[in-house]
Amino acid sequence: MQRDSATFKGSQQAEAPSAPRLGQKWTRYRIMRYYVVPWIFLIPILSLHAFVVVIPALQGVVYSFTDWSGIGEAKFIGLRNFEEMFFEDQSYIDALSRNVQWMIFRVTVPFAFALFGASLLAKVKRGAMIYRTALFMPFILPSIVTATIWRYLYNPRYGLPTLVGYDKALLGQSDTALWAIAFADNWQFWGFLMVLFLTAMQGIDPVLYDAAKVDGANRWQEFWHVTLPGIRPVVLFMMMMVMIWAFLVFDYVFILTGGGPAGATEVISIDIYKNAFQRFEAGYAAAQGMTICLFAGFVVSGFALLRKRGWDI
Amino acid sequence: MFAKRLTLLLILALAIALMVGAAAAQDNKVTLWAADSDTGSCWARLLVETFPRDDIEVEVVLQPGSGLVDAQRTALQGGAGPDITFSHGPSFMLELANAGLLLSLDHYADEYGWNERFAPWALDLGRVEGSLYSLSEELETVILYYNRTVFEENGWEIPTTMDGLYALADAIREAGLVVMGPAFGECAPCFEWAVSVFLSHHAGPDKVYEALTGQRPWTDPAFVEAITALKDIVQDGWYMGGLDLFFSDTFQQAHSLFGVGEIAMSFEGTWMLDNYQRDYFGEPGGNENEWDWFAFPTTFSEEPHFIIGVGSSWGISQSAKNPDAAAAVLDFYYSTSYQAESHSVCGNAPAPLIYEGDVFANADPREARLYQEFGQASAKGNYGYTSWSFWPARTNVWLWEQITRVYDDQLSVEDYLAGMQKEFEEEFAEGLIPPIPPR
Repeated sequence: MQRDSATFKGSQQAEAPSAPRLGQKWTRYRIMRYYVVPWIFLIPILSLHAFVVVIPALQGVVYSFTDWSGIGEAKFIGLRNFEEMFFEDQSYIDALSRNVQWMIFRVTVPFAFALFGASLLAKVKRGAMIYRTALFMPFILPSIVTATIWRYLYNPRYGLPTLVGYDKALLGQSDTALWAIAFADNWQFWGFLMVLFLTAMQGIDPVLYDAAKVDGANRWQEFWHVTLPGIRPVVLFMMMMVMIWAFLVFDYVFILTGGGPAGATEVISIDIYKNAFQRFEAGYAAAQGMTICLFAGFVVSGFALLRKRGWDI
Repeated sequence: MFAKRLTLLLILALAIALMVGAAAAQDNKVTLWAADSDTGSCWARLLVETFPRDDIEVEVVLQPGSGLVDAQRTALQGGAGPDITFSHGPSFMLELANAGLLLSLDHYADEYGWNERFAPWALDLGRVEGSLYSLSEELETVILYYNRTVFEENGWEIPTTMDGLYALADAIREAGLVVMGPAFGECAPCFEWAVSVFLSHHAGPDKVYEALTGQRPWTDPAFVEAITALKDIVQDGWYMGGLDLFFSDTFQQAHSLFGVGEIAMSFEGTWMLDNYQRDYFGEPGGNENEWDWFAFPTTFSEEPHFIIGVGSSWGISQSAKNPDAAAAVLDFYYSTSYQAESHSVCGNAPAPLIYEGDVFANADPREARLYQEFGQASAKGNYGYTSWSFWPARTNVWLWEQITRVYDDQLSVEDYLAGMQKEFEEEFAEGLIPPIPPR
């Protein structure tokens, strides 16, 4: 013990003069560990992100203020593209209104399908995975496949319209084409939402349902007062995402109608494509692309505001 | 020690030789991009296999999807892309030339005698401010194909006037058939075919020429009359039996119905010459029908008239590593022998060259008659203009995009043409009109 104590003492005496150096080492170690090493690991992905996302995005911002054909020199024209877009270009305003219609459809019909489907499937115990897989399956099909299937399903000579004696092409009339495309898109999309909602529902405490039953709640009251509040963060988050995605819709419209008939399904992304690659107005197309970012920003800000006001998002 | 040094020297010399060899091979490699389709892969293989020079390596990169030109444009802007540049036609090439992305071909034209080999109007299409920047390929026009079997069964005659065509349409409908196809549910720009034909065949090619050269406005009453006539037949259900089907059916659906005889005629491009026989008539189409064609009638003459155009163009990229080798490849590509073989083996429409002798001896007689009549009509000046070859880009997009609004009664014919005039004036002022061959 004495020996131990001496050793301890001796050790303390021996280390005392080097304490500041240990402190420096420790500081250097902390700096390396917390400030340098993480950045070394991050540099590859940040560089990739910069080259693939940040720099092109900034270029897009710059080009939105230019008159540029997509090749060669760009000429700076200030806010002229935005002025033309909002005050002179009726096709842009029309396209924007179609995106808003698309958004309204997307946050209502697929959500209703998905909530209904998820609440039914949540009760299914036997063969649940088969139902879930079957309903989720369309989501993993490529858009070109789904769109082609629906093109044939909509055919008035041998498709679904013949079942009800309707002999017009839904995709060929300006008052039905957009909704026909939206429905085809919904067919692919709602299964994805349903799986998300179903997963969220499984996280709800079963005691709450028992309590509701004790209180005499019926299925609708259970859904409204227990299920929906329980999955509200997921529903609202997906609503935000779907609203943003509504401004990016391109594939189904491009494949099924290309923006027709008579421009009835021309959404902003189709207009951007035409301006960039067919009219050679890439500067103007970049400005239109900027407005999509702007609308996405509005949506995110709206939800952030709700969150700040205490909504559970 | 000496042996070691000698070995090192030998290795070094071998490495240098390999590097020099690789660099030389790289310099002599000429790259092209082509669409990864049946026709694209066919002519690509044919070009690589039959190109006669051993000192030049030809590499054709097949690009999947339909965005070949868009992808190439982006690559060129980034200083990359193929040595030989492909595009949809003169107005696209004009943009590339104006951006300084193409090499002038003037001295190659002199060296290889392209000025004598091409139809003059076709070579002119590739000129920008007097210099040649691109070479046109795929001679194109739009004609009326008809189901000959159905016509013979009903005793219908081929019309040579517009009035005759109207009478024929009435007879076809009385027989319970659809007057004509195809449908454009998959191809919005294809609405330009009929507009091009009606402007030239109804208003007349001289007036179109004057409009394209800025001497006559597109709002001229002759054009109003032409577009109104087109609108009337479309709304009357000539196409596919109704506007909704015209707007939404696919090519395949329309061509199949044409093959089996439910649709009597097809107002299509000459690029379908090969396809009808291969896919839709006779044994491949599961029927015993035959097809043939006639020139779309005009309001002013009983002689055959055709709108002329080209399907695409080729040029040499400014960043081509070996422009001389690229020019040699182009020279071979535009030889009458290669064009004839490409047409015979792959079904490619021939380039607008001056063909002498019986180059297309193996061609279907209906096709041979087309090239013969087309040549005769061109020589007499009986030709009009395809919008995709002669209209500037923005005006052309207006032409095919807004005509659907006219058909759908969302836009009046007058406003449609006023809009076209507005776009045209802007592009005319910017010098973006492709060269218009003098009449």
